[in-house]
Amino acid sequence: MNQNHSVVMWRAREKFVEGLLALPGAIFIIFFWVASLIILLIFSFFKDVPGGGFMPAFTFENYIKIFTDPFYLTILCRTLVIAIVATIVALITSYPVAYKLARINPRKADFFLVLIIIPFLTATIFRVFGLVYALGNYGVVNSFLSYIGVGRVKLIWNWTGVIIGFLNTLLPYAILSLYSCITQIDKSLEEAAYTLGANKLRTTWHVILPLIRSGIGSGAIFVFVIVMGTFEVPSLLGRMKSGIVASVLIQQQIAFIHYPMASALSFVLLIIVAGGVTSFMKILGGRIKL
Amino acid sequence: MANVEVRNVYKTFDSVEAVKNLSFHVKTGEFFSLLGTSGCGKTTTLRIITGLEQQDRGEVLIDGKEITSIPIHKRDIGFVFQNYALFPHMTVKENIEFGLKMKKISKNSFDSKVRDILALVGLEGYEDRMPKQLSGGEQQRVALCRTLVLSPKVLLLDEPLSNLDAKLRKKMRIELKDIQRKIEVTTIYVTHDQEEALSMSDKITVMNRGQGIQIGTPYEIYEKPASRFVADFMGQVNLYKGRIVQKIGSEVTIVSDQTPDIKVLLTLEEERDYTEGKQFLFLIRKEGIEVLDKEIKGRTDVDSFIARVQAVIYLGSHSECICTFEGKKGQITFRLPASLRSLELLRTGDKVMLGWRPSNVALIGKEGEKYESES
Amino acid sequence: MRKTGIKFDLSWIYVALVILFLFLPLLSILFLSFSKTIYLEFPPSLFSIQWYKEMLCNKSLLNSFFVSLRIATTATLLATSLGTLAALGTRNLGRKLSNISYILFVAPLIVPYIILATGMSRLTILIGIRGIPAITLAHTVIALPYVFLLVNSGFQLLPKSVEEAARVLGAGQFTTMWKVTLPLIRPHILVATAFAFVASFGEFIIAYILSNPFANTLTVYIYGSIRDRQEPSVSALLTLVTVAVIFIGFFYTRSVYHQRR
Repeated sequence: MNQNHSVVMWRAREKFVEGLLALPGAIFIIFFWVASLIILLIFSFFKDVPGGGFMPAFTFENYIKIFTDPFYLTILCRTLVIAIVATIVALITSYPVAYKLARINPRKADFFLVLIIIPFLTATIFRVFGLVYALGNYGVVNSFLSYIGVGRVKLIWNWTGVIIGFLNTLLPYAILSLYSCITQIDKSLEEAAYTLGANKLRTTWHVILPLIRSGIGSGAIFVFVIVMGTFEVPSLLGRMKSGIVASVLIQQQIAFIHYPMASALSFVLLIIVAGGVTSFMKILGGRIKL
Repeated sequence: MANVEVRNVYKTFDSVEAVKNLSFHVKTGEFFSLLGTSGCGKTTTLRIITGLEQQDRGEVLIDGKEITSIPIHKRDIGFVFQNYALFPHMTVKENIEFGLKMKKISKNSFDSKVRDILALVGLEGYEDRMPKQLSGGEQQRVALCRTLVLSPKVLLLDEPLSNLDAKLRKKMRIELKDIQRKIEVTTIYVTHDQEEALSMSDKITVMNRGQGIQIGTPYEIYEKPASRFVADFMGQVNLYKGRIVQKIGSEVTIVSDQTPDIKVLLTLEEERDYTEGKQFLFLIRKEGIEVLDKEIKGRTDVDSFIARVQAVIYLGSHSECICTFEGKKGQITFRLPASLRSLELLRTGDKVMLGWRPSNVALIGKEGEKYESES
Repeated sequence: MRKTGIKFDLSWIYVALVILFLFLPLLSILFLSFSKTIYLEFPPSLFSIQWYKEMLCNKSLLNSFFVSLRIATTATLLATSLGTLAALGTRNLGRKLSNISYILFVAPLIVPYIILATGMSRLTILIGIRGIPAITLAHTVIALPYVFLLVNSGFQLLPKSVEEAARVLGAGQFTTMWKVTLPLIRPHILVATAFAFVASFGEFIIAYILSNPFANTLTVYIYGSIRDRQEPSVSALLTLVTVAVIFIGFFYTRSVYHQRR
């Protein structure tokens, strides 16, 4: 006798009602986020009016321009290259810190983690403000360097400044990401490697890194997305004229009210980011989690 | 207070059959145990009765009424979790009051009800403590209080003692049984510990791989296991395969290549089931085997057999002796009291005379055969 | 093998350098706010509170601060409620629905904000919402994923048997959620609130593109300041904000930890 179909409706009802709870949030995101993307898509097929403005149309000219004009291609490539370089540099420089913190007494580690999180809580642009004063020709770092007799170094409005700026933003993410997965690796695995004759470097390469692969992936995804989308850093610490970054480019288009081109660029950027994230997920097995 | 009936229940999880055609009946006020190893489906069955899982097929009835269509919170069944599941953010008192609040009983009676139920389990004065301040045994008792204060029709317990240390477990067994007897609530108890099941239950179902293998009183399960699995599970080591070669009235001779020929008296029922030439399993109970003193011959109550000692294992309070029968393949294990005499006398390679009453030989059905008692 | 002595080996020096690097901008801001000069040099020429005085007179700066505060508060409240409900509602879904909802609620986190900003700038015109409400809505969208993920992580630490116990004791679905589930994930909700607030308060590009003369957030003001002016008074406000953040963060974390213990 199989009467469970009609009789146990309360179970189905409960599940349904519970699911309804998520509806307001879902509608919100669909209405504002998904709709934004759809509008973007539509606008990307409109036509730019040279000199300012746009008009409704259906044309692929924006996309064609992006993929054929060396100007756009260069900028997109540069964006991607910077993002990858910044990601790699961030991960490499943050690893020693993450490892150290993961291997000491958790209470002590907490203290340092708090220190690392504090700048993280302030806005990126606050820190850019500080960096402008710190890195400028008459800023802190340079006057320190000339004070000790080294001489001034150009640290701002060039790629150095941009990388420094990015690192300042990215390191906390990278450190926290790596920290949380290194702590999950039992110390005895390392000790076993030592007793088997591996030194610290080899142990790191052969034992730890493979085990935290997905953690590296997650950290990479986070960092990569941030760089691809950050505007403040390249705009203020870099020089707008030579070699700008995709986000800056998009904003420029908006300044000229060239929304069609801005939209098309946004979409191309989105595809590049999606591609990057998917690659990280496939290669390193990262997942999106906090 | 109610009777519970589980009828032909099936439950599959991800292509694993957790419960397979399980049926049993629990009388009002009875203490009924589901006994088996982990993964045999006993916890799943309990959760199905509570409503935390839903069976694929079959019915669950309380007092003759199907309860599958009733949501969990309306079933009036008490459930004690293996990890107690006390609300960590509430005091002991608030934990116990929770169910009362849900029932919308007037708040005036809360204080006295909580006090009384805590007194019943010996935790007077614990009202304002937090769960994390309590020991395992105390938490378990609070979990019990939380359920009993609601006077449920049925009480379900999911291995409530398995997280406690051995000494506490033995103590709690007695207390639990006491409380159950006092309150007279129909109880279904899940455990993997056969000592627990034997000492506390009125009836036991031995389960394996989702199926009920044997239902019976503790005595029946232990003395007359229905299959090799049950015998094994209950700790019977002396299991042998044999067949009947000679039948004179109710007396039969069992012939086996593992033991010498044994004469047994069959009951009427057994006479029906066990015919000449039939292959079956039989056991010789450890507890019934004695080492016969060569001088005291002429005992007529036991049958005697010659065996050779293989090993004597010292275990402190007693020793175990493993022997083999001459010319036969089987081993027999039995206890030796911890007296110097036996230790001196028995060494590997010695010949001994073993004896046991014929009633200590029990016939088991063919492997896997189910056998349900009438009681 | 290196010993685990504190502050006695190379790796600690490295850690110190990294932390110093991370604090460089904040320290610069701190010293600038008290400096006598417009520039920040080494050694810094202290000590003056002229910038703090200037800050108090700078109406548009202070105004932008309050605008940011307003937006962040509203967005946080919205995001926390919607996000928590979303996490509650998606707990027991089947695998397919669960994946879809996960992608839906986490997507705004992964997609660069400039893309959302560009789209929102047109969407808000279509709907007819401008300025502060528009920015608030956009910030709610970007804060939601944080809340969703954090509350979800709270569920993983919650033993399911406690909720089942409540059901067996007679509590219905929502009574259980209210009396058992939510109190037990309260620390996670509070942390999520903090994350949401920080996300909104410090956000730049969306606020920039959706800004209008009446809706200037602090971040937008600072951007203009860096690009066009020499304005050390900004550093005064930033110092105060950072100190406030540290203090509030400290006491907030204390109270969250207290609930755990």
